[in-house]
Amino acid sequence: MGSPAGIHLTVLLVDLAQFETAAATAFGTVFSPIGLALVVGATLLGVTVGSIPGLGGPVALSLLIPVTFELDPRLAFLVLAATLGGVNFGGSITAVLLNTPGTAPNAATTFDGFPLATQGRGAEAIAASAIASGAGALLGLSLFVLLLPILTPIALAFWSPEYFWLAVVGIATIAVASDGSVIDDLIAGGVGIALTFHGVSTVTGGIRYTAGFQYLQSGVPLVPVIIGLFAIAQMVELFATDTTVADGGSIAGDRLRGVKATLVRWPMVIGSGVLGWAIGVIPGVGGTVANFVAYLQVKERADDPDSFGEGNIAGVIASEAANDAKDGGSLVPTLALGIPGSASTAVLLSAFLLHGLTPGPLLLSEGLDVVFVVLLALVCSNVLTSAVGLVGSPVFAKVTRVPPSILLPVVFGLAVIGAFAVRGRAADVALMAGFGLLGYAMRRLDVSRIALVIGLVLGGLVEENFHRSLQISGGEYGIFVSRPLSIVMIVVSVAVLAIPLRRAYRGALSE
Amino acid sequence: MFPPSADRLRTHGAQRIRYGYYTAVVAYLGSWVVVARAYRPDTRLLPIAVAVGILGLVALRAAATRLGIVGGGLATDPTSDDGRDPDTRRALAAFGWLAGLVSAGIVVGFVPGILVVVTAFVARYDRPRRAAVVGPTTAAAVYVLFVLLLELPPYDPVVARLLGGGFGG
Repeated sequence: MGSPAGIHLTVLLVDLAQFETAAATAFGTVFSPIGLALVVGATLLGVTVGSIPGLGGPVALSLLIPVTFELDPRLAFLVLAATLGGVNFGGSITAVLLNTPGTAPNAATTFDGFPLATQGRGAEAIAASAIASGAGALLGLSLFVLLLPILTPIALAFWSPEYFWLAVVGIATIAVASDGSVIDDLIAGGVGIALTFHGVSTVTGGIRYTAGFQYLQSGVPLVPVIIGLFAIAQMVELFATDTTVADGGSIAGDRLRGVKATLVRWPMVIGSGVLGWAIGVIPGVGGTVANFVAYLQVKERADDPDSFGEGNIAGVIASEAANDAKDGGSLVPTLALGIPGSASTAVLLSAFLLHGLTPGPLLLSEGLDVVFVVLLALVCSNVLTSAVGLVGSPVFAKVTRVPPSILLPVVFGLAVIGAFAVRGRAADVALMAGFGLLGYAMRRLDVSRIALVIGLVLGGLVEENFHRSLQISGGEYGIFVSRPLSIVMIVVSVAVLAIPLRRAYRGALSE
Repeated sequence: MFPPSADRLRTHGAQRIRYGYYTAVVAYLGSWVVVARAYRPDTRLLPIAVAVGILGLVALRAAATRLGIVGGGLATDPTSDDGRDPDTRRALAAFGWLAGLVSAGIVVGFVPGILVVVTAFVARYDRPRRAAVVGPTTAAAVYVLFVLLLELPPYDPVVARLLGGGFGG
């Protein structure tokens, strides 16, 4: 990892001839017949894997690394990047149609996507998501290319206390953005954090909270939890109510309406995209909270905030634009600093290492062709997924009319194999079933399951950075409030948590 | 939306789930505070802080419900009403089938388990003719995607271990 100044120099001093050679090599690789075939195949595989409840970018990439290991590095990263592009959109399909986010970064899409699907407007929501995702991704990648030299030092400005507060901001945002009780959602987020304390302590390395179960020594795995809380709980609810996802009206909704809704809201797409991208630049945390922050700011600025959560297409557009743009942002720390910006890019980072390429300043000079391949493959796969979304949305939307007597066993089957596939442990399948029960209870009580998942994602970061901060300060708690950026984070946390009070005050005034 | 009796039953059911949920949360985190006493101070610091914070929020939630404070989404009404009336017996039956699927996967392998349980479920709740299509198609799709394409980690089910050989998946 280099200093910010070093990165500046490395980026700026890459000579033009090297830049042109690398760009030409990347173009030749991606736009060759084999390259295009691999982009199409990998994108479709990504959409498929992403649309299976619980599976997502990290799982797809980690399963593909052994498959691509023997390939030329450029082709290997073409496959991995195109898969990543496809996975993001695949996750939004299940988020809209089955109320099951492919991964945590798709979670905010469920808020309005699923209500739209229940109104028979699934295809409209998917079409809007496809356009917003594609636009967000292209915006994010453009910003990556343009602002890389300027913004890497900002990513390095975040120290441990700021990471700690950023995780707090993330959980507060999700609790406020979700429908239902803020207190219930904060409790759910706290339980999510608590779950990360099982297993090895990041401070002492000792084992804790395992109750004698060897299984818990490696902690609570994320994927079975997501599958149980969302896929299982949603299917049980459909079966218990004996209804399809969409009750009445047209099966597909109007695709063009979804496209138009997105195009008309282009300032929102750009605003959410830039916000998602900027949050994505922050290593580790940004990928998970970007879509929630974008969703919340659109909701709070809307004339009709109460319509959010009931099927407002703007909720889908904002969260999807931010979600796909954040990948361009998360590439900044991943490629320029060697610090993963999100869970998916963490796996991508390990793939670079396996291929003998070290992410960081040197990669931008010595492996520039591979960097360009990643960017081009992401651009191609995002354009392709937008097309797939537009053309295929009526087909995907048919899922909303499949009776639960067929949908439930099929999703159960995919959920069971998906929970097992990640680590190859049968106990993960049993854990998934347990979280299915919890998810159903939470669904019945209108408690945010997403808050619990985000707590589980961010909990490790909270503890790690909490203790690292104390180590830096020699045990002084003042470090959490001594840096300006920490103060900004605290103010943001308080401002976010004050939103319900402001809503209540506005409500009281209007009465 | 619902007949009064059904509405009352539903509210009663939701209340029971709520009490069960918060009892579980309090028991889970309360036990942490007790167990944590055996750990080093720096290991238990954050877990105890989080547990105490959540328990405080649970107390605040209980107070908000009792005092009827529901403003601004800080705390909402205990029963959410999305217009659909879940049948608890059907929900329990679904979890029973899930338990059957998990058990079948562990005993005979996940792909054969999916074939058997998906077919049986569709035959029970839909039509046997559809079951003959949906079950094998799901199992085949799972086999192609997970076993062939994504190279699923090998798993020897109980039956294979008892018979002294492994047949994976």
